[in-house]
Amino acid sequence: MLQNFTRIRVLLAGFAAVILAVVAVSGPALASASGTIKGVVIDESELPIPGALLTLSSDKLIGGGAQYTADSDGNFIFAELPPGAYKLEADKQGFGKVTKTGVVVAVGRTTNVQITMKYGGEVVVIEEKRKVVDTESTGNKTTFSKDYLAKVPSGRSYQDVIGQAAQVVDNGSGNPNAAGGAYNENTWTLDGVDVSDPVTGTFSTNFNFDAIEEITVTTGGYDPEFGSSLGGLFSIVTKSGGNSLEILANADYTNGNWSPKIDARYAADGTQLNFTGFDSNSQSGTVGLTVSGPVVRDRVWFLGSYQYSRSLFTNVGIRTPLDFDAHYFFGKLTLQPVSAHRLTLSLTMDPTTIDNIDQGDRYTLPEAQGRQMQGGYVVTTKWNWFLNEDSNLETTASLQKSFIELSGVPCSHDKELAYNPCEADEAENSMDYDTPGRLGSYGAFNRDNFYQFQFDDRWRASIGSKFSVLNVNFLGKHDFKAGVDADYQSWDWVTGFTGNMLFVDLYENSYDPQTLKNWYWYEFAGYSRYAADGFSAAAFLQDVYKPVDNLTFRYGLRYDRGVVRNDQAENIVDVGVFGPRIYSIWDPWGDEKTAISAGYGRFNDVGRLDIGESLKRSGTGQKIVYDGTLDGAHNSAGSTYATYPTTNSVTFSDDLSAPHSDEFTAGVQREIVADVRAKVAFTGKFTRNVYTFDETNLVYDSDGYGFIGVSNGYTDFQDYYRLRTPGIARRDYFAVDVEMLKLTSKRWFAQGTYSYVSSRGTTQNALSGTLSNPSQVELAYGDLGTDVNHQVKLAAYWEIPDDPWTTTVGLASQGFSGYPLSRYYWQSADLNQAGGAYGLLKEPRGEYGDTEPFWTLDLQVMQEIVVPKGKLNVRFELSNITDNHYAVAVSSGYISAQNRYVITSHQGGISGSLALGYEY
Amino acid sequence: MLTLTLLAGCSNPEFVVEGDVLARVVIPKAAATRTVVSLQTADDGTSAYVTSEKTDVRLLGPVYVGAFGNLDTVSFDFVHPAMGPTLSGAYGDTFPYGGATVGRLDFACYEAVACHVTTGRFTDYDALLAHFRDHLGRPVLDDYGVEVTSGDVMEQWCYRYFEATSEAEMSFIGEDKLSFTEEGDNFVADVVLAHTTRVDGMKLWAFMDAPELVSDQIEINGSFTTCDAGSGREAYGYGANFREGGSFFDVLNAPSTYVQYGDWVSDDSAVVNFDESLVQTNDVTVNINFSYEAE
Repeated sequence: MLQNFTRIRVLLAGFAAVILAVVAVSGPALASASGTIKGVVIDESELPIPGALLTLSSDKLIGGGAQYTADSDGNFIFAELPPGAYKLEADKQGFGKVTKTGVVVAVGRTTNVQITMKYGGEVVVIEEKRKVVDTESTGNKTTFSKDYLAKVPSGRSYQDVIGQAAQVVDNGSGNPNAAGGAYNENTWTLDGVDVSDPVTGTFSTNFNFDAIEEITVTTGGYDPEFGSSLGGLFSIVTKSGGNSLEILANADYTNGNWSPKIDARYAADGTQLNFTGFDSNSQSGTVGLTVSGPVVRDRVWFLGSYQYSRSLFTNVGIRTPLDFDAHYFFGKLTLQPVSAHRLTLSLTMDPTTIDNIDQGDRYTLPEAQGRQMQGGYVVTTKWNWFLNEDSNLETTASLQKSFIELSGVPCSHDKELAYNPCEADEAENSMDYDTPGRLGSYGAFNRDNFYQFQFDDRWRASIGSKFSVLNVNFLGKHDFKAGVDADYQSWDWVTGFTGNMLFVDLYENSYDPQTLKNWYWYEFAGYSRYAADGFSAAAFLQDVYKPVDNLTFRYGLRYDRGVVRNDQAENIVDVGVFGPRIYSIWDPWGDEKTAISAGYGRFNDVGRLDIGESLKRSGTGQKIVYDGTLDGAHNSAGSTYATYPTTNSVTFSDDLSAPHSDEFTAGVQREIVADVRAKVAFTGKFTRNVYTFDETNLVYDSDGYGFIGVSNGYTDFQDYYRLRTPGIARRDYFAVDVEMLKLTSKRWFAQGTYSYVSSRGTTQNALSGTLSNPSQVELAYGDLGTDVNHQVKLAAYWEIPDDPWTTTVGLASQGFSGYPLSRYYWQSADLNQAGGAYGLLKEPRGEYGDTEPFWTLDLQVMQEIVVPKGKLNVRFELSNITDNHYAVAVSSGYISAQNRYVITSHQGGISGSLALGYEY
Repeated sequence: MLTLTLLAGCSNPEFVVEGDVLARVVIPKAAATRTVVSLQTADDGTSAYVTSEKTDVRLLGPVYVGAFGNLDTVSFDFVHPAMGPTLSGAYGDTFPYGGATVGRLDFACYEAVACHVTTGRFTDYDALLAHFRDHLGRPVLDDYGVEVTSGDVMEQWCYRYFEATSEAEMSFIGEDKLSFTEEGDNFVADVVLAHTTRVDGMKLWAFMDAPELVSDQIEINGSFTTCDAGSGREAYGYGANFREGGSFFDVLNAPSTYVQYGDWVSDDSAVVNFDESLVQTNDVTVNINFSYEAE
């Protein structure tokens, strides 16, 4: 008992130390990239063996192995373990030594191991039977192991892998809808560090797929330490190296001509083509190299990974190809000079240049093409301090920057390249910010120069600590954890128009330069700059409590505080909220084959920087000038600069509540035969007080589609913008998952899920200016864009028994019932994206419609070839092998303006890629 | 009392001064009585334009209703809303508290009728085709320049064009969507000025943008001055892209720009009253009873 009180005191002292550390160093950054092994050592008569020495080792675990002395109940625990397979040895004088191999650890999971030692027995080595049921966690979690990533086709994209999890709708944007949340309500973590874009909440970093060890998708029911998210929690854990040198090389190439294409829209003369084309061109390739190994055996490991990606895509009728050119760097150094301290340093960089970005408009001449540069870096330092066997402190600090820059394509004298041609006296790669661009309209070409520029820099600096005290005896067993984190975000966004002018040209006869008119043009007073910042902080306390061996309670409380400021340093969002969580997991027969779970959790959204931007005050003056063509047709003031937003904008930010989800989960999972699990789970999620932004001074026509005036009624022209979190802005989400999982055995693996989903509500996105409600209408309740009722996910691989030449065939398939197209609800441009209901347009009209059900089937064949010092693998992946062409996008313009939808794009056809890899 | 006040505050945390304003719009049948042009074919196969006088609700264009602070009935040669605050005293620049329309400009599937169709006027496709043929003298042409003579053909094309699944989505067609009803010598319609800033004593004023009807310029017949051909969705036509059109964005801010000869306007305003709780206390009727004709 004294020992337990001591542990509690250590817990309290540790928590206080964490708080002090945060105050002193200004905070920590949390999440988790590790798992836990726990268990008990008993003898043949099931009596505990106190004092048994347990030694854990793995090629994933730096430091030469960890040790634990079993407590008076024979219990042991190893926490903060990287995912992978482990060897666990138990030794006690007088007993035969027992070694268990193949003990698998996954992120966020607890692996239970029972070791039975025989007094006077022989030394035994046992292959640990794999657990398909986690009897200490809730089940809304899908783990994609390294094997899965290699053998199941996913286009070598971690975003696509995430889309293969249940309740995740891959919308093609890389930012899926998870558990009824919007695409920007997910949390993305890299090695436990939140790397979500601080402005948009979307993913923000790319890296070589070969550097990934494991991906975990959690759609609900998670502990306070993992944060708060109204959508999903996507955890990517990278490799760390090991005691042996490992080299992975990969190259793949895709040529669009290998498969029929369906993307043609226009013939060279500008006429629209039927939906058949073979006219565009595309090819892409990547080369990647990942090297890892020891610097000092068991003490210092390294991993370096680089990938170069290049792709060229030319839409029909476009003169210059979209040229995607990316370099992904990832480096990681793991040091454990002494057993009590582990230090992990990592750096991610992904500079990317995309030239000739306009492939949708056939009127764009090369000199008017644009360049988008994007990327950023994440620097992370993590320090694990193992104070003793039962307590540890993890402190993480990170700095993240991401940027998007938009400009014209630099000029070139290389005529073969056909990119923006330089003038004779112009230096190669010159950038022109002075010449105004000319946008074509009605048969005229975009020309002279790219019309705008943009420099968008985003930063996030975070620091956090969490402190664990494990294996505490007090009316059962407790694993306590407490933590705090703080996070500062800032945003600096400059945007303007080249030469501070923008011409819009018109050909009265299509493509006839003789009829060209300067139709109208804008003059700008200068560029616009938006600089804003925000911060968030959180603290949590949680416990995993086992009053008896076959019953687990996971409960805790999280406090989140968030402040989002606009460019006037006004606190647009300023909230502090609690998020309690409690879950219970019961293993009724105590055989670790069954878990019955139920629980409740509240998840809060304390804001992103783009929420403050909705009430910005910065802007630049502009005036519109018409030539004679439109005289008398429009009376906009042409002689004065009108500033947008106006300097006397009136903004309302009501007393905001933090949007939050109350989530109820329940589930049953059972190992039905060895290595096979069946699961049924229910989720009910009720999201309330969603951020809602609108401009309140627009006057709409009778149907609420187009506006016919600007209201005001006061003495000066004013704009009225409003941000609210009204109670009626809400979403209700229900899901039932049925899953079958077969772990790899007898050379095959399979996983299948069916989800029935109902997603209804009044709003879809947390906030987006593009989703502003028609201001005169009330929020109303209906199907949301995520209301895809039937979702099926299948994945499998089979290793054909032809050793030593291993051939693996993998497949992945997804099927969805159609997306709702609510005629009277606002719908995002991309069907698959987070569109859906927002504002009801005055009165219900029309019927709900759905797109056709659609499905995909991807196939991968991988052939390994053993060569001296390693093995080669040749991989061929076919995506959408049945060449389906279902609708994937509709025109938002029709829906918002005319309450109709028009399909604007369909599924890409069958495509293939060929890859060659080498593993040393 | 303080407690009650606080409770009241809690019960209505989203209290705003904006709200719906209800009104009735009355327009005389005379506004829908026009000398129309129809293309008639004689027994010998020759065609000729014939003029006649007709009264038909389809000859009413979109009606724009605004709630303004003040009206100036003196400054112009017709009753004109040079009302309320102005920008630099500029002619026509004004800002209503809110507004609405009775019918709106809509795109009816063919480029040839972009900016020519008002919702709430047509019971079915045949009625629309007949209006263009028999009132405006310009039959509806498809994208190939061929006359559309059958409502079924037009319906089929509209469903394909909009990927529609029900008639309810065709906002310009439908007996249940007609805006006006006959009442004696008038057509009347109820209208909601949604999300309007409610100011006691504000004035409603309206005008009807009548379709152009000029017998010797068939090609402009049926067009509306309030329609911006450069706005609306960009559509991909057979030859080149075109815009589907929509109302100008400042019709209520600068109505004088759009009121042309042939249109009908209110010759006086209708006052709206509210109580302290911003509940509308009177029935409001806006009469559009002044025909703006050339002198």
